[in-house]
Parts: sequence; structure tokens; C-alpha cells
Amino acid sequence: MKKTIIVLFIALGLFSCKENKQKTEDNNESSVLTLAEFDKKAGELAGKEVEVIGIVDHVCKHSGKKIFLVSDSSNLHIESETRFDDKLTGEEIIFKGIVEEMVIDEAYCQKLETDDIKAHGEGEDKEKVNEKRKAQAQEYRDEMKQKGVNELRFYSVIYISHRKPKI
Amino acid sequence: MKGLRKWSRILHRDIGFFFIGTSIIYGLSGIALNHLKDWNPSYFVENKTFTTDLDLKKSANLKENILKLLDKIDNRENYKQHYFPSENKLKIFLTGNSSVIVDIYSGEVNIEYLKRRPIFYESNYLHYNPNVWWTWFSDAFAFSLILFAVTSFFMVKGKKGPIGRGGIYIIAGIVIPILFMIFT
Repeated sequence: MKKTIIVLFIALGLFSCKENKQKTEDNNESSVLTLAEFDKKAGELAGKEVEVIGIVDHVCKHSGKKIFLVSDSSNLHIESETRFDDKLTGEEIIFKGIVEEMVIDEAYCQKLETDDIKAHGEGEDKEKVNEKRKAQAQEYRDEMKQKGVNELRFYSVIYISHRKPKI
Repeated sequence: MKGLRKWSRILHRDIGFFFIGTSIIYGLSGIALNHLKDWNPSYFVENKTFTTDLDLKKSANLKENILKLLDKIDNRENYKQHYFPSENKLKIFLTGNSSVIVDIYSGEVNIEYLKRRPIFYESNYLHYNPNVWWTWFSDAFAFSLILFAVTSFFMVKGKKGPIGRGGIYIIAGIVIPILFMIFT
């Protein structure tokens, strides 16, 4: 019995304390974009590798695989296949990754309203999730109408590596 | 049939022993994450609100004034970064994922202290599949759950087995999720 408990705690300790080691690199910072610069150039950067600098506002509390990167004027999502260390929160970090473009149009809005996809936040009622998705679709439509366009383009960065800026 | 029963018991018992820890991790985090609406399962959260007369608008003295604020409410050593999420809001990041949000015009300060919940934090971390190695291990665990279900058919014979009382439990356990699927 004692052995089982000891093995359990050792296993918990081994797996829990070991944050996934995200890749860190040491490069020059001349080509690093601020989030404001990224916003201006994002359209021409789709599919390309970039480095962006910002403050990590939070790591997604659900998956741990998304980071919300911020500055005074802009923000950006960094997405990864592996989990980020939530100790990055509040740090100024340079992220390297591939720019991904997401196009929102009427077809997307209709899909958002009708698809029966899994709730992002566990414990949420299905109805509430559907209401949120409908509200989100309406927000996109309002924004398109306000801007007089048929589609909106959003950009995120698919994570490759990160590093701290040299002081 | 005798050999099948014997091996079902051996596999059920030994693999069951091996996955005791994993079962507890998924059980604990399953309950914790089922109630995300009611609590933060990974962190203890403490909120405090008060007002300050320090000038925290953008200026050359901003950093020093932020540190003065932290001297009053926490500790300047815990400062990490700050930025302005909107025109009137300043967000200050502290060590340990805690943060302070200040309305720079009204002087209202909201502090959110976070502290990891032991055991739950680690269990939830694993539940959310942190990396590919855990994915493989948790796949093995998931497969073993299927194995437990299959082997349980052959472990006991007679009135307490699947042809007797056990069969009623099996049917009830299958019918309940089906009813949920139909009525929710």
C-alpha cells in the first residue's frame, strides 16, 4: 500500500512539474516586428515566417496552447501544438512563427451559427455556447457592414520558438 | 472460457494497478473541469479593490509611480511588465501570474492575486494534454479503459456476472448516456 502511494506521488511529481520545454533561440532583433508594425504588414506576411515582440497578457487557461500577446496599441494570438508555460504571463517575449490568415465572410458566419461544435469552456450550456456563436457571427456582420466590405481578415502566428529580448 | 476468464482477471487487475495514478489524475481533473463555471480549478483567486491618488498616466515618471503603487499594495520586487489595454486602463503584471488593473482617471485599483491549487493544478495541466508524450500515454490509458470494460464481461460468472445482476448494471450504464443524448 505504501509503495503504491509513493509511486503515485513520484509519478505526479515527475509529470506535473515538467512544463513542456518550448524552443528558445538567441537571434538578433533587427527584424523583430512590434505588434503595431505587424498589424500594418500582416496582409503581405501571410504564410511567411516572422518574429514579433509583445507582452504575454495570458496563456489560454483551457488548452494552454494559445497566447494573447499585447502592446499598448495592438494584440495578437500565438498558437502552438504544445502547451505554453504559463510563467510567460506578463513577460515581454519575442515569438517566431508562421503568419496564418483567417478570412471571415458570410459563409463563415452562417457556418458559425449552424455548426454544432464542442463548447470551448467546459461546463457551459450548449444553448449558451450557441448564443455566443450567434452573437459573434452578428458582430462580424456588423463590422463588415460598418467597413463596407464582404470579408474580414484576421491574422495569428503559428508558434515555432520564442526568446526573451536582450536588454 | 476458463482461460479467457483467467486472463481477463489478470489483465484487469495488473493494468488496473498500473493506471491507479492516472485514474486519480483524470478523475480529479474531470470533476474540477466540470465545474469551471463555479470556480477556477487551477488557481486560488483573491481580488482586492481600493483607490490611489498616484498619477499613473503615460509620463516619464510612470514606471517609478507604478513601483510606488506596488510598495503600497504588494512589493515592487514582484513587478514584471505593464501596458495600457485601453485609453483609461493600465495593467501591471506581477510575478506568479497576479495582476493589477488601474483606472488611471478614477484611481480605482483592482488586484487579482493568483496562487496555484496544489494537486489540482498539476492534474488539470495533464488533463489538457500538454505534449505528444502525454498524448501517447493517455491514449494507452484510454485503450486500457476499453480493455477494462471488455474484460469485466468475463471476470465473474453466475448470478453476479453479466448474465445475472451484472447485466442489469451493464444495461443501466449504457441506457443512461443514451437517454442524455436523446433528452439534452
